[in-house]
Amino acid sequence: MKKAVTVFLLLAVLVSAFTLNAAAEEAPSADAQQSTAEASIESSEASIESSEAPNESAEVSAESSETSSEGVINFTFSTSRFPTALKHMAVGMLGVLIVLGLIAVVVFILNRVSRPKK
Amino acid sequence: MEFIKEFSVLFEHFGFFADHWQSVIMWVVGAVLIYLAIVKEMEPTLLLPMGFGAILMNLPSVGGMEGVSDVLHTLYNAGIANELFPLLLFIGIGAMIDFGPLLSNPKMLLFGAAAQFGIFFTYFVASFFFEIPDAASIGIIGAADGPTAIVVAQQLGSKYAGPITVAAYSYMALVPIIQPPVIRLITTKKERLIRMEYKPAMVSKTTRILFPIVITVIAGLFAPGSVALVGFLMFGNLIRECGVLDNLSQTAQKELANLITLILGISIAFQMNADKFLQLDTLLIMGLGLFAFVFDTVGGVMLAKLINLFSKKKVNPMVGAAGISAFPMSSRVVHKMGLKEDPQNFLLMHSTAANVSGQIASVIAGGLILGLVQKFLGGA
Repeated sequence: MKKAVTVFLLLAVLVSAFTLNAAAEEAPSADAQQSTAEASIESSEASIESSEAPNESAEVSAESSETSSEGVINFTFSTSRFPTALKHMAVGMLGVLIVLGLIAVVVFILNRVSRPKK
Repeated sequence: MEFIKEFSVLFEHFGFFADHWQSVIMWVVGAVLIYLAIVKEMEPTLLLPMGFGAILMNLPSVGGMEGVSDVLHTLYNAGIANELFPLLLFIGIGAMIDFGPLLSNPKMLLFGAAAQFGIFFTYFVASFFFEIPDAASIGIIGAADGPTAIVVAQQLGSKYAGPITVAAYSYMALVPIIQPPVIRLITTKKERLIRMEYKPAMVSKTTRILFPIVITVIAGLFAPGSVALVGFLMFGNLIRECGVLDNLSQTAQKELANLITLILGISIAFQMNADKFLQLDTLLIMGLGLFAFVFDTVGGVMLAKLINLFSKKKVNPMVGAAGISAFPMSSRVVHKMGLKEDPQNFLLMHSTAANVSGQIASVIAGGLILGLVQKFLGGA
């Protein structure tokens, strides 16, 4: 019972930490909002300059899109991988059973062929 | 005034907590791991270094303190990223394992195979959320085998290698908590009371010596991806069984295994940085890891139940649950559960046989997953 309580507490701490962390990263802080405002001013300046240097602005936008893609949640629900995973599950499980079964047969034969000296 | 200014330098890093409160959470995680290691004696050789490392990695990284993470990073690259430490540890594990109970009753190998069900089922479930290499690496947490989890995750280039390693080692330590309720849930009292006679057949020295060599060859033919793991495990076992290398066997079992475990635990902690660790992905991976352990147990128990439908000699289904690779915790758990149900029911030797077969099966499962996924990636 005590062990269960310990594990429950550990999980509770972890869950709350993950949730708080996710919430903190999702919600823009005051500093972040300020920096966003500064960034928008800079971007407007950059857009003026971009007419002069189109290649540079393309690089900047590529970088910013990379940064924005770094979210808290990297996993996405998708069924597109389902057939491959199902196939691997079946082949893998069957493979383990076959290999271990074969080893069992070999050990059985070894035990028959090589008997210990009394 | 000058003195106060100098004195205030002592406290200048206290502002760190305001911006990095997640680091404090990681201290708590580290403290809980240390508590579990010392007070509950759960896998202390790994949980204690990991717990301390978690605290170490989440201290303010300014000035000289950066050196700590650099050192851990160096250790991580030197031994975990290139899979050296897990493989060396396998020599020690191989030298520790006595395959005698398994060799005298080779049928037990089937329980080792069945108890890998959690790996493949978790891989399947994880594929709904993660890319194939990541899903396969997450599934391998169910191998209940830290070194195998590290090798598979590294070879598949999973970006979740850190959380996967932490989950694998943490759940291995939590086997005494995870398995009993699952076993009780899927077995009846009558099944748990089944007594199993133990009549060990004598195993010749030739069989003991040939066994590691034969296993390595079979694994190499069917699952080439597992050759490194199986090879090092069986090399350690051959040193033990050959009878002419006692000193090396003792060194592998004690000094080598202890030294590698010591460095491995703290090196894993390099991945326990709050920024990397406190993500929802990690939480999902931890949940899937638990799922894998639960279904490993279910797989082993169900095979025993299936055998009981056709066999006159009944098998206690709890022995099937010992087919997971967490050695020797799982066999002890099953033995204790058997004694609790019936003080005269000794299941230790049967569960040990299933448990060591799980050690082989988990490595082969890891090799098969590596082969399947690498082939898929090559063809994709």
